[in-house]
Amino acid sequence: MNTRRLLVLVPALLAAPAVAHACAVCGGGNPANRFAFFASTIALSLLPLGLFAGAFLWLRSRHSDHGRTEFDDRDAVVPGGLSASGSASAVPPSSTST
Amino acid sequence: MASPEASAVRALPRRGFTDHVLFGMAIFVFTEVMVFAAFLSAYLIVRNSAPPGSWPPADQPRLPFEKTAWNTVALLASGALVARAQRAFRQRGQAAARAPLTAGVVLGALFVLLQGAEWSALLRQGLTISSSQVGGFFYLIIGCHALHAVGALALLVWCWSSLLAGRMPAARFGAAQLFWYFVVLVWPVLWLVVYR
Repeated sequence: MNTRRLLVLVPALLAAPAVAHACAVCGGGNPANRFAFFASTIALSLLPLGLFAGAFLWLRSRHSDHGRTEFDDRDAVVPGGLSASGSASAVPPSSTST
Repeated sequence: MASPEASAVRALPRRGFTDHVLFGMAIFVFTEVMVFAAFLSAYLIVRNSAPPGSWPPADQPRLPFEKTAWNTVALLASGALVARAQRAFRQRGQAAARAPLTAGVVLGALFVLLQGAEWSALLRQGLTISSSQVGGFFYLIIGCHALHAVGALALLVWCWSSLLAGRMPAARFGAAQLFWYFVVLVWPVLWLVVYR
């Protein structure tokens, strides 16, 4: 296709988008079909975002639960925790609460 | 040299903040949700592009929407019973979860059997995967769901047999449950969109 034809064709297509059926669905002319296409595009775009948001909230709640009980196993073995040198604390926290 | 307490603490198993089995199943279910969403999207676009009154074609049988309501009830009841089994498992131990899980598995198997009977009737009436677009979509979407139902049911049966032996890990039950809830919850959507 030579340049002169392109210079005529491209502005003609830009000026008349209704005849430039780039997408078979958009050019179908059936309103129900166009609505189904539009609705499923919206659903398929939002669904993964919703799933990601749900997964994030679930992991966050698991993480906060984990934070509350993180040292329970250790405290069952060494009630006062460990010092930086790896030895047990002299005074367990339960004995200071009286 | 570290104290005996430090050694004991170091020997404790590391605990992550989520079970890997459960997390892996959640990722799998995530992808399956997208698969079914894509199927339904394609189905709705093709169905709506058919000329008015031509879906389903005149020579093809109608899908048994009302009759399939019983299958739907069985599946939803199965989901509720599995949820009840989980609650009993958490609160009162493995023995308490046996009865509701058994009932849930039986109702799940009933759903699969009823679906099989329905497919057999539709095939006899001439609805095959290549007879029309309706048949193609029906066997693709509902068949894919049936495969998931059989897989999830197999997982539940595995959990049930572990439960009878009194050694079921909570993570395995959680993962099987998640898969089953997906099968249960996606079904009413498929029923309302594809059968109606």
